Amino acid sequence: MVKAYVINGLGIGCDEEVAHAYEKAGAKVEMVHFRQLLSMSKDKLFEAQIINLAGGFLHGDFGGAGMYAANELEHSGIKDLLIEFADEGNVIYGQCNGFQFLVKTGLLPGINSDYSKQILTLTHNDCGNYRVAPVMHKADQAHFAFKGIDMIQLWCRHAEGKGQFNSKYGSVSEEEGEKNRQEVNKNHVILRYVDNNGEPTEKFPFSPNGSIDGIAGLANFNGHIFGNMAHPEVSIYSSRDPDWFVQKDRLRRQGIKAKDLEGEIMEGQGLKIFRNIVNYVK
Amino acid sequence: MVIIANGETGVVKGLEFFLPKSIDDKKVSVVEVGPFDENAQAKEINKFLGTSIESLYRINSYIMVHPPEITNIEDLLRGKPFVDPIMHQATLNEPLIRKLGIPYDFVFQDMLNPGTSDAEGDTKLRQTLLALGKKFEEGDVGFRGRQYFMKGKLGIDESENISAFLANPDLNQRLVVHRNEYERGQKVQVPVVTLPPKIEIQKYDVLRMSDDELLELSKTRKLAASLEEMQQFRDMYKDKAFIEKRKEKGLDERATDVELETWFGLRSEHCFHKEFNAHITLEDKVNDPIFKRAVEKGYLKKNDKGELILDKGIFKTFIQEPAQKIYDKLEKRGKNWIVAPMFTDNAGTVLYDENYMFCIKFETHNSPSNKEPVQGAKTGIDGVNRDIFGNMRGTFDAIANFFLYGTGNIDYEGWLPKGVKHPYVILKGATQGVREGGNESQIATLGGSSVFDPRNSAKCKVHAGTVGWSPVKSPDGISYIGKVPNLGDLVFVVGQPVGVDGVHGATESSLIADANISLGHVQADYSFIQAKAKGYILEVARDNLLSSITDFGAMGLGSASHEMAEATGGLFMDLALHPVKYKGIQPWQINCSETQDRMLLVAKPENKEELFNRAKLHDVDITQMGDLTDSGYVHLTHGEESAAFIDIKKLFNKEPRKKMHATWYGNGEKEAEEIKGEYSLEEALCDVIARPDIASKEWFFRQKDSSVKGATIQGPLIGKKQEVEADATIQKPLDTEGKDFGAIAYSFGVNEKQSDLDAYYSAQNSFLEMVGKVVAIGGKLPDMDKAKWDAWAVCGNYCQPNSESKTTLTKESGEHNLASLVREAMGVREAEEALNIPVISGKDSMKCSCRYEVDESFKLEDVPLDLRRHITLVEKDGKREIEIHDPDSYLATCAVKIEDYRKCVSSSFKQEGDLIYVLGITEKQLGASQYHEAMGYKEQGAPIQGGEVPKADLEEFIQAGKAVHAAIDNELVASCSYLHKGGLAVSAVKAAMAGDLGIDINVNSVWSPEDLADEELLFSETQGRYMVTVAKEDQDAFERTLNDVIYSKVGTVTSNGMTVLKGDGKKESIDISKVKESYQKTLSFGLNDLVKK
Repeated sequence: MVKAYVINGLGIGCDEEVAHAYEKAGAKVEMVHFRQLLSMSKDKLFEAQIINLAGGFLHGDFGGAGMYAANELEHSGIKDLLIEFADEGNVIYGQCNGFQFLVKTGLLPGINSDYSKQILTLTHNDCGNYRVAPVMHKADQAHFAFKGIDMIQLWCRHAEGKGQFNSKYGSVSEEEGEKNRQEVNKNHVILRYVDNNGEPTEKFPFSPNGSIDGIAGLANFNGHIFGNMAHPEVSIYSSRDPDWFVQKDRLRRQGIKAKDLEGEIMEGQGLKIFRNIVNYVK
Repeated sequence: MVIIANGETGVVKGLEFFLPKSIDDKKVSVVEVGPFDENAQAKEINKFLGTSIESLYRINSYIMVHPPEITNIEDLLRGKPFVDPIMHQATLNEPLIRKLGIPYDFVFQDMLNPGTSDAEGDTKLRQTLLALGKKFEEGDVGFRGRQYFMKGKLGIDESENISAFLANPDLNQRLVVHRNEYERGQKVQVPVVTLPPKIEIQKYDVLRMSDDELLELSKTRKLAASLEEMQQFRDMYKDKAFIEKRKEKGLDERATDVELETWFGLRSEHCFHKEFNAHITLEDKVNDPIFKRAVEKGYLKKNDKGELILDKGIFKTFIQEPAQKIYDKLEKRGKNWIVAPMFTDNAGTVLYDENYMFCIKFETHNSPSNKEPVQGAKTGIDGVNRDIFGNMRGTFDAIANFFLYGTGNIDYEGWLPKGVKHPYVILKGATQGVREGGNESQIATLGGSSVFDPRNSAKCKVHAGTVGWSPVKSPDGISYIGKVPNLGDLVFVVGQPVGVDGVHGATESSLIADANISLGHVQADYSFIQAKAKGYILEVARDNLLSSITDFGAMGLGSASHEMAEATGGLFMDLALHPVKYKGIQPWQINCSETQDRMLLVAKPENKEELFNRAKLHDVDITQMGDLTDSGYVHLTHGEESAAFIDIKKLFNKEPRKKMHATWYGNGEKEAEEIKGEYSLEEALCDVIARPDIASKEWFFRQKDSSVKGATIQGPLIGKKQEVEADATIQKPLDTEGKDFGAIAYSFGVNEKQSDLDAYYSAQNSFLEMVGKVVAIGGKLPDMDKAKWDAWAVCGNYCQPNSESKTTLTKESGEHNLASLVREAMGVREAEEALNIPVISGKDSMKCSCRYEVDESFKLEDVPLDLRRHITLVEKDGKREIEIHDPDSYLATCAVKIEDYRKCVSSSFKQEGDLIYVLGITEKQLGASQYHEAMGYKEQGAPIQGGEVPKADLEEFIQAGKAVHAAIDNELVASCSYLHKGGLAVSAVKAAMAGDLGIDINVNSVWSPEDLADEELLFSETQGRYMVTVAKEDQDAFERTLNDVIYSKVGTVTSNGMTVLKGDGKKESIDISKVKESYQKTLSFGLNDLVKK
């Protein structure tokens, strides 16, 4: 049976629903504290096929989202083991704060398998605020997690989600930033925010944050390390859709009553992602 | 920035930090990180203060005090833990601003006041040490300072105002310097707290003090105690046997400061609810029918003088008794879902079913929020979350958060009492506080609102609420219900080291607001520290390692531990064991400080090792403080020295109860003021829906996680674009996913303005509104015939203006306020009993008033009418004083078990052609309505006064509720709304906006007992009414389920637009997009500015 380590502790908050999603997708879940992960033996690490970094507020997001957890990872010695873990066909997946963490550690996007430094950031939303909204995404179906998924509406909830490669006051030059941007767009983007026509967009409110080129999710070269700002773990049941009551009323008029609403009809699109992951590492 | 540490001089100028002389074994390093773009904030400041800031950037300064051997911080400047290399740069010990070339004219600097928890600075230091491979040592400390570099011109006042806007003066030390000065260099001392190291337990010879001296002692130590209370305290020391026992412990007949502070802190209004337990004598000047009924029902007794006596007090008579009665009925019925004992633990708890339980608690945090809205609200929400974590044995997880703010109108321009923050600042700050608290704790925000009244400018209201969830027993069958502390159990503290912050919070919230309240009860807290502790506590509690737990609220350790001691009848603790933020904190401060983010655990000695092991993994600090005894006393030491010895029975003895006097001069109902103008329905509807009480709260909800925990079925916003507020929300606890189709629904009701007319109805209507909103989404009134898991967990929060006539400016207003409170409580009790829905949790906040001395320059006529009406000015003996009382406010909130969420309905219209029904009778009840407010502000700058307050017939309310439920249960309903603020017109247009559909409505078909004007029919706020839409094919079946309920078929759902057939037979078309614009603009805070770009 596929085993997933769902990391918790230190302010991670979405671990329970993520664990529920993996279980529903057929995996066995073990909750692992972030500090336990940092000091985990190789044997223990490789007992699992999936490591999940869920959303939340690692260290309260002081110093920028994911920054301190990334600092701790860097000085723990586990980073190389994690890269090895992914190289051997296992999966490391981060949502929201977990994604921010993977980006700040340099584990994403890992251009040319170089995981040593951070090459883009996820910074404050253009709207200037924390924002909660259901957001339409276009997925890269070639990535195993998004097999069979083209457009998917997912909940976004974050204050820092705007992808950016350089800025006026940072230490990355414009040329270097541009080079990284092209490389990432070419090989590493698995999810983008899209407008009503399904086109990638930076425009609010289709993009909740103004992320460059509509970047909403990234993967490393083999896709085994990946992450996204959205929270697909919420959408494993259709009843979590913002217009579920409307859908349900439509079904009612077609003769599908409350008691019939169980099983597949209640599954949400987010569940597909977790099923795809579990099936991939099976 | 340059360091002149310990006499060393540098070359680069800017802000120069130096250590206090007494610290000679440490070094200071300052890392500056930035820039952070603050131009959005600048825009806000310009708008609000009328300034002309051209640009604004922030640089953070991390001031780190560390061992001198650390010299390689330079190596970290290009990355973690300081810099996001894409965005920022950093410098060590030199001003970063020079490298950036950002233009500026002024620098605004701030840093938290010395001694305030600075988790950001502390974490930065710890992460730096980690990155350098070093360990944290005693005396190492980190601070975070902020420098805002501003371009633009400034007047003197402006610089102070901007500085105060950027950093609250109550929490921060601030500095504003011109560029020239900044470049020359400014010396700033590193705010290491260096208290005098001497620990001294002060002794007071209370036995030999005169009455005046006792009162003086109460004043100088800020005990908020009356002479009677001081005498009661003194008399304890007359007991010879007690003194003998004290002598065995090394104490004598003198009281210690620890005893004084603990005694009066714990017996404060805040902790003791004196007014809710007071014996009340009520004089009814008008022979009021409600008080007459109160006598008939036995709530009040008439004495020979014709006065009405509330002998047992408000709490026992109006809160405990009805809950107990319903408990007994449910006990008889079977499947009693109330978890007993009620009113003893942190929250009201009910059973979801045999396997799970949930609990509710709302906290009121008005006083601190009035001073410091961000931290006030944040400590409010973190505090109420902690209540949930500390409920029973610590097995409850918090699953939902709620908020309610009460402020003045945010566009208010005019006089405000000195030192009072503008409503806009309060509202934004409170929103930030609740957002940070709720989001960082990863709890879904599933409801809330904000209400507006000019009086709330004087003292704002901030409510924060939480619902908790727990299994009923452990997997191996051990019950989680109740606290089970045992003799010999050890007492532990989990969480932050203690500082002197928050000393005197409990006693200060018992004082009315004036300009002199110190900072004492404002504290900083860090939700994620608490979130870490929560993870730990849930784990150890659910593994049965704890006997009991309680949270630290007002009065900190003193309150938490001493209440725990009541169970076994004794407690021993060594206060010196508690970790401290800095040396020199006195024992009484350790016992009474309200330093946030702490919990008290009680466990058997054999579980100690396991508790410590797991704490280490979770990065949580745990300290053993002492143990539970059966000595009959709280015995506290500081090391070897005894610090306090207090008789527990006496400490918690509520006698003598307070005696209070109330007078009722009649309610405020009278002929309503006239509306002079004539307005189209469209204009009226636009004005009404733009009133801030009902205008869109989208801005609030967009920044609060509503789907975290993956369990939200109906969030706080509805519609495809999520633009309309939902009246109730639904959550499906993940633990039950796959086991049943049950869920929990949440809603609230508040109608404070109606209290001007009659507080009995304003409170009762809050309760009914809450119930109606849940019924409309699919909830069910408790079924007293069939045993079912149909739990209602209801919480009632009172915010009452000062009702102690000794301290109100005029005796009449205090006495009226108290009589009004009795009516409120009675209004709720009668509704509870009729509906069999008990209120099982709550909070009272009794001093929602302000009283200020004003000078000659204050002129009443200068104050805008809406506030002026409520100001009492008294000139006496050359002293001019004003007083403002907040309206009486009763907030009712609930968490309700839903049997099958798949049958629930939302309020949005679903399909064109559906029929629109109104259930219930519409009466001319527009007193204190949104319509009266809108028209009043339009014509006279203040609400229309008078009119009739909505009054419900409780029997009809129940009938309508049952009929609606039956229709929803039979799946005949497409949408349903409970009609409340703004009446039928507002509910209908909101349902249309949410469903992206239109309305065709015939006003003449709305059922009313008398002829009413169109506006009256459309905007009346009569309780007990629902608007239901039904598919045409379901019409007959639907109407059959209504039985005897009066209903009217008022129109149909159309594809777009709104048409109203009026009383004069003419049709008026209303442009819904215009109405929507009005709905969204009032509280948008620039929410969608980006869309226009």
